[in-house]
Amino acid sequence: MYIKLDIQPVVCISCGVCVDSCPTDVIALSDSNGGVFVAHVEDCQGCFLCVMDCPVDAIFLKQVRVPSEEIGAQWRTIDVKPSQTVTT
Amino acid sequence: MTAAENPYADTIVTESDILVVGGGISALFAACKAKELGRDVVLVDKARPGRSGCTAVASGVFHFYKRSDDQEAVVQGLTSPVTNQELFKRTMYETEEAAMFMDAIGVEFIKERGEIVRVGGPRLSFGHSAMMAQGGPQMALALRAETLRRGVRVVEIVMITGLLTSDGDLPTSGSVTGAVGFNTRTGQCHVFRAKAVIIATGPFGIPFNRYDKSFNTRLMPIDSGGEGLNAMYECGTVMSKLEIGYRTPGPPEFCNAPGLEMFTAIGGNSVWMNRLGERFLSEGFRKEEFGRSSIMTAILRENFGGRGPAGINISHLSPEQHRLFEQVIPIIMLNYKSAGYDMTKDTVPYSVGAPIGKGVNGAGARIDENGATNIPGLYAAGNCTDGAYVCLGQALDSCAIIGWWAARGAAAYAGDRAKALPAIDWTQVARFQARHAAPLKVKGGLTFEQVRDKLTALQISLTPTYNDKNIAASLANLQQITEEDLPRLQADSARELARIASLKPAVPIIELVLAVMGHRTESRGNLIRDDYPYTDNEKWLIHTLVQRDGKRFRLWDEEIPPAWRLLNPPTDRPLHPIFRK
Repeated sequence: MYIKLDIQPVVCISCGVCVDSCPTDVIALSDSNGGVFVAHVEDCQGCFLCVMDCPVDAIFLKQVRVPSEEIGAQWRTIDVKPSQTVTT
Repeated sequence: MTAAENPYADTIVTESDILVVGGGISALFAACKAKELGRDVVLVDKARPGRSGCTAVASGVFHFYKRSDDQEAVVQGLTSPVTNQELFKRTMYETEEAAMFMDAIGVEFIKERGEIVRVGGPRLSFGHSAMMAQGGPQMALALRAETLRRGVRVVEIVMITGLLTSDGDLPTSGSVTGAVGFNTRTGQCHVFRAKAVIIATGPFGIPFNRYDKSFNTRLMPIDSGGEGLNAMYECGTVMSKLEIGYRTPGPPEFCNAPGLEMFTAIGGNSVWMNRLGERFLSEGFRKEEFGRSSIMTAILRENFGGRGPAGINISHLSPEQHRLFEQVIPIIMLNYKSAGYDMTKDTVPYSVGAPIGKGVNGAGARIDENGATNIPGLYAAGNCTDGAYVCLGQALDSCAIIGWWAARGAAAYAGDRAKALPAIDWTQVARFQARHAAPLKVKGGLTFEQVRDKLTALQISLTPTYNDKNIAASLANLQQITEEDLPRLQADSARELARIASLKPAVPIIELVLAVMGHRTESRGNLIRDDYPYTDNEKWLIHTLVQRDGKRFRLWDEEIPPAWRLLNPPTDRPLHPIFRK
């Protein structure tokens, strides 16, 4: 799993709320044009606070699953019913 | 303050009756209460209060108890033979006051006919879990707003790196007189001078986990390496309950609260599934037995039996119930959605996090019911404390009311405005500043990532169970990291300094936890030792404590005060549930 964090420049109004929201200082305001950009994606913990606080829904956070880590794939084929076998 | 009094012209000095350190629910409750009691309060946080630590990403579930509730059942269900049952019984109704306070300041609870709805949560047969209509993020912002409205002076993005003492010593024979820190963006040094200090910095973990690897360690807190815990330990605070906590079940890879209370309260028991598609925990376990520890045990049993990994399936619930999850635990639902899971169809992974760190069970400074530590002037609240041992884990409710306790204790200690502020020992300030700035002078050293990855590997090596061998190996590894790696950490910016200042304190705290776990030759709760698989109520119904002693620490056991016990303690020696056939 890795994190992909994008700020849509067309939608972003550069209000800086996300800069204040981020606990790990991932998002920064540009000194040159005052725009907001992802400066340190390596420190993103996927907390979604920037996504939730953005007033114009300009931020997209995706957690990309690596195929070798697809631990849930086997569940997809199982028909789930609440009364299935109890093992514990 | 004149230049003569402050030899460091570039250091900002802030004075107050009470300094609160932290930005989560404990810190904000403490700051609000201390202000209400008429004290001048400064709150300092390494990020922004309401957006740092655990609280903002917590599940929007708040347990509280009314006077009409069955008090005996609550004590029976939520305390243990090692906890302070008497104090729990005496203070449990403060949780209702806390819920009413939050309701009054704008935390949005789900209500029916004007009353806060409480649903069934773990370990009790009746509803005691209030649900927040917009989860932890809205709650945290409402608390932040109230803190500012009350006139608490808030200093943001300043990380505390040490506590000042009246004798200038660490550990101290005197009292705590303030704190030293720096701005994590600019490097600006800060000194806080206060009559009393409340540390409410939450639990510890290995901070800034890798965003590109599956280490199953990225649980909350997301930005805390335990600097508050370590600052207290350094100055001689007695540390308690380290053997109990520090492992919790949760969705792998995600930083948020596990959402367990919601899943079990709304989904009932039949939400758990193993790799084979078999339900577990659905029958044979009563809903009221669903503590985090029992869920963790059940998940590990599936893994041990070759039936792991475990997952949660809520596909059988109604669309209205799914919407309720999105309201109350928004971040966990966003996490699953962003990873491509459809909770209306899919079983989603849910596992037990790697041990040593990243827990939300309280452990740390031993405090009393005034939040007081053994050091005069030093108070503590929330998940960096043992929570006065009122219960084993500390969720939002206990963190909140213990914040109030610490505020009352600190306000009484600080006294009125006429009491003089303690003097600053500038030699000690200089020592702290030199220490946290040291990585700027290192050339050709180690990066933050190199040392963090070593600690993460150590963490993984302790999975799934502890024993003398892996504890001893980890302690030796930690000693090598302490002696050889930490002094070689290098930084070229305030940002790197902040990451390193978050990482370094995790090392001595992990060492303490392992020392305590190694000392207790039994398995109990989250302490699961394959070489001592029995819960030993004959020998281990006692507390294990540690305190810094010179450059090392001393470790000892203490009897549990008889006055704490309302229920007869067990005397048997059962096999830990994880090892039962």
